[in-house]
Amino acid sequence: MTWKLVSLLTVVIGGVLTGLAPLFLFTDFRAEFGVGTILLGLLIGIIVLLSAGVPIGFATGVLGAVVIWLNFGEPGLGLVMVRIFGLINTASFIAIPFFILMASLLERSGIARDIFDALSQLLGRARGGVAVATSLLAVVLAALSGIIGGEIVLLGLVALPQMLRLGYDKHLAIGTICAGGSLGAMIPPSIVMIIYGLITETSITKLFTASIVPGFMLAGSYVAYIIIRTQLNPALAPLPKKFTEDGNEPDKELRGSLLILLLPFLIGVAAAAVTNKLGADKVDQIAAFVFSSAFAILGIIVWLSARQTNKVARGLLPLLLIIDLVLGSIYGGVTSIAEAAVMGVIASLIVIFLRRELEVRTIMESLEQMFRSVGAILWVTFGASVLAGAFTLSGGDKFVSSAILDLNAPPIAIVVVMLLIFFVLGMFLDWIGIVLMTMPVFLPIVLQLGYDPIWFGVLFCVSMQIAFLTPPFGSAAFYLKSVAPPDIDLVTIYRSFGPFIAMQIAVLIALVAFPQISTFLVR
Amino acid sequence: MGPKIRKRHMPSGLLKNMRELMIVPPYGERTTVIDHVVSTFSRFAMLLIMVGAGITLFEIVMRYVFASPTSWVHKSTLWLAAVTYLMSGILVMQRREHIRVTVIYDAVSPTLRLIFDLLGLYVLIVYATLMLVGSADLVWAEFFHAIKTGAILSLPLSATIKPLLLFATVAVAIVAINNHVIDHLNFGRSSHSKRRGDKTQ
Repeated sequence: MTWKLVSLLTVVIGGVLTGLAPLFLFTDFRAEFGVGTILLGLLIGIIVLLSAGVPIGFATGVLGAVVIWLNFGEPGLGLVMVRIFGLINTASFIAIPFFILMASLLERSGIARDIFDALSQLLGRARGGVAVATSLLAVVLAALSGIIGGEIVLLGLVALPQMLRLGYDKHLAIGTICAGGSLGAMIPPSIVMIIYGLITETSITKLFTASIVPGFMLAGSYVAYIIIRTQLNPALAPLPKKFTEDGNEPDKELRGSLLILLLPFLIGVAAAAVTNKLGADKVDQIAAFVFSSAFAILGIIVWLSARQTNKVARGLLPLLLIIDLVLGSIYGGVTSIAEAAVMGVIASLIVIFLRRELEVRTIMESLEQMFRSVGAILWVTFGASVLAGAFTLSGGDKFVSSAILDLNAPPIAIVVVMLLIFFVLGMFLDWIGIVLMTMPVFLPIVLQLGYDPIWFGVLFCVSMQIAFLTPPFGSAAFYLKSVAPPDIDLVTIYRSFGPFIAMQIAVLIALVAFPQISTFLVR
Repeated sequence: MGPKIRKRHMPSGLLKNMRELMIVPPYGERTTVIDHVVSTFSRFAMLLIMVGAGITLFEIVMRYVFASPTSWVHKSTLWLAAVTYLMSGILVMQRREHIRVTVIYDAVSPTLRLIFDLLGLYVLIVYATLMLVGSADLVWAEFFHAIKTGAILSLPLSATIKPLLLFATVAVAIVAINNHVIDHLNFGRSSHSKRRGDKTQ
């Protein structure tokens, strides 16, 4: 007891004294040791601090501050404040709390469960149908959420019990939920993309556009995998004994719902085609698509509101309207990203209100969840931004990029090595730590090699999809574990990820081989 | 999964309801007065973002419906969001949820874990002190200048957020010491209503 108190006091007083040291002593460390030594010390420091479980934001922040001190002495320490304040003073950052709030509001509403129930009732009669329904719901939720976690927890609560009860293969069910739930960080609006865009100073709208096709490639391959796998091995997904509980005609309803859901899409495509004929550019075509389909959705909601049929369409349409409004405003350039996020929050509140689920307590819970996520994400960003600034100012980025460029390796090999580094780091670190620590080094190299930073951002985002699933620090597994039945342990969960990680790697390879997949929309 | 509509009795008093809503027991099995302050304070700071949403909606409506965009909304939203970023870090520290790598930390013995915790605390205190050493004088000068000239009333971002950043960092360090005292020195009163939080990051 006493020695614990003594050690605490020593640490507190020692910490303050260490922090005050720059006021009293300064030798020109840079002249004495050179950049290489300082960088090596930095690398060792970061490994030691991170493996000791020091929060990433403080470990990077203190190392950044110390490097600044070693390079520029006490006067340079003001840079710490300058870097963090520069981040806070960025307009796009405001979108992060709003996007997280939007997602956590919708998570607390019963809307996802309603959609899942309707979808699985319709698709459940086909083999593997409930898993496909889960994937579809995951894609819709991903377009409403910028982070993983909430989505996986939600799917784990809504879809996992249903699939297990129907006798679906454990691994298939878990893999579907976690891989699908991770799409939240891939399909716009993605917080990963926002942070990447802010750090690398690339257009967030372009990043959002470029990640659409890869995001749907991932989702599509999950669905295809479920269908093929269950066809080959029917034991993985037994058919329910009783097809429908009520006397509805499911086939007719399925066709009706599909038609209704397709209608806004078709109207949007028609509007885009018309504007194309009129000679509008790509952004205007997207805007035309978005707003004509939004009006179509609104019309259908009004038309359907009195009916008891078409539960899927009725559940999905409000969410599609929110997605349409938020992403439409961003792509169409109508509002800034932050304003689009605010519209998403307001629209979610209206949807929840119309569902009669609006309670002050629910709003407070959502706000608290938003607060916790924002604090966790942004304080890492602060610290890592200090480190990145210190690194660049001490010439570290030039040092490393010239060292790599001097290797004269083929450019594509360098990119592949970077992706491998993401993969390895992804096993231990959170995406936010990776983006903030690697990008100041990697991006100048990528630019010097003549690659598109937007394309590299998409590659990074897909790599992070893999990182969410790889042990020992695949965060998706922890989120699912927190809501899964006790007999499902972490080993089972990680074992389920294999095929899905393989598909993600396949998509990543396709993106490396054919960059056009992501970039053709932004050219 | 949201709670279904429950029939409630008429509130006996709005004030009591508000009190129940805004003052909740802090996270943790044992808590001190610092935990209560952080918890309650955060409860109010959370509302700022709703204000931001409200005024941004006002701006969008003014711009597109009435074609008269405002000049103050963007600045104010930025300010409200900035306060949210900074204050949220304090609550996250109180809940011990700052992102970190726990692979090794979870595997080692309690003694080593104590040493790791001390290292983390040391790092945080050095960080906060270095930040103070680097910018406190300039920040205070700017802050007091804004007060003297009365500019503080328009909440200038630079003159208000920079002091707040210093305050938040020091507060995070204090909360970290508080956490350490609770976790390792068995300090604090045990709170019976242990709250379980859902994980999301």
